[in-house]
Amino acid sequence: MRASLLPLVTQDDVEQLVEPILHRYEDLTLVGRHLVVKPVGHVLRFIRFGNWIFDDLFNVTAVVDVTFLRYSSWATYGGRALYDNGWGSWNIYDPEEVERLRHIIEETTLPELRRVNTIDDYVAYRLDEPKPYNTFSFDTTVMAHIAITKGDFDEALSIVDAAIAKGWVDHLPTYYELLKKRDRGGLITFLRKQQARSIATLGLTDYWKPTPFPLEL
Amino acid sequence: MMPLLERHDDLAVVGRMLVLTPVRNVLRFICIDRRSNVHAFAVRTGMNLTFFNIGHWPLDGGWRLAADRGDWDIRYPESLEVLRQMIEEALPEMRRVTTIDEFAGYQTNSIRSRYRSSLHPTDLALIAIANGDLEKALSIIEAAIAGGEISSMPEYYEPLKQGDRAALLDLLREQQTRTIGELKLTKHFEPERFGLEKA
Repeated sequence: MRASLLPLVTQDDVEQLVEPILHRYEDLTLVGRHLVVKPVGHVLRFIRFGNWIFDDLFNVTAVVDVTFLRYSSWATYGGRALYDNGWGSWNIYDPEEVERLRHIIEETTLPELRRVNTIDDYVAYRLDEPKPYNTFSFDTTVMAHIAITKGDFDEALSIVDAAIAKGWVDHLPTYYELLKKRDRGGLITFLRKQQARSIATLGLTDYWKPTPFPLEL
Repeated sequence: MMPLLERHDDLAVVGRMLVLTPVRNVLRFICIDRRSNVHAFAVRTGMNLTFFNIGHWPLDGGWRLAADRGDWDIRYPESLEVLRQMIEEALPEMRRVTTIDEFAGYQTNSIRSRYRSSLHPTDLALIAIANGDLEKALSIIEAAIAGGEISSMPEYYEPLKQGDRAALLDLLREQQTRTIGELKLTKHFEPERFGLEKA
């Protein structure tokens, strides 16, 4: 059963909504329902306009994530909902509300996203999540990956081993053997391949700016 | 998933499961499961023993095939290639598990069970029975009873105490036939002798 009395928001609606914003800024592009800040490097910054599973309320969420993880579709880990009407969803059939949403996006959200450029910026952004929703410290997958990108292999291994000990992992990650052997070249290749694949999966190839990993410098 | 089926002639589709055939005492499969979102699905491997008392597809004994971010989604064809690759990597690992002992060994050495046993004492005792080691089975079950780990006495407890091999064998065969029937695996099932019969 539908939770909302309003019609479902379509792709056309989303395009209309962001059209004036796209027009004003050169560093933005719309990929499906995701307003992406260009260029996409190790860090991916976007605003998602969409409906959640089961929930056809229209939500807008700002997301910052890293591209060297293995993606199978768009995800909103650590996403921050944009709202000022108390409960998170937007009525895009109300012109006033649409204007308010555009204003928040342009004045607050986009400047925040543009400040996140490096892997370190990403870590700081995620650590800054408000308390009950702060899941970053449990995200051992991303923490292990980040340690690898920096060449901190001992740190990465201890993160994975701790996650295994806690029963959070049910199968060894593909890079585990490389990590145990401290195979720098192998790990760089692994990260590069995984990143290229994720970029292709998300349809971001045209906006991607390949950057060396800290461990390559 | 068609390319997988073409490449591996030991794979069969049973409902939403990709089953490694033939199915003998060990059952190995990959489960492709729906999510609440119509486009999304979850994939995991599963392994179990066909003579266990199971009436539905047991999703334990394996591991999740998942990316770090996002669900598998039929709208992202690029990522399905990654999934196929993950399945290709999982298959050899599953094919290595063919006997009861390999299954038990795998479960004890898998990451999950390094810290806690994934097999219940009643399962471990049943494995010992199938292997014909009734003494070991009895000691496992007695220890579990003493430790308060057993809520209801398994069906095989009485014949086990009496050392009634014929009754135990009947019980194993009956449970296995029921499981194979419930999971609609009759076509792929090849009966295999238990250690209990050889002893």
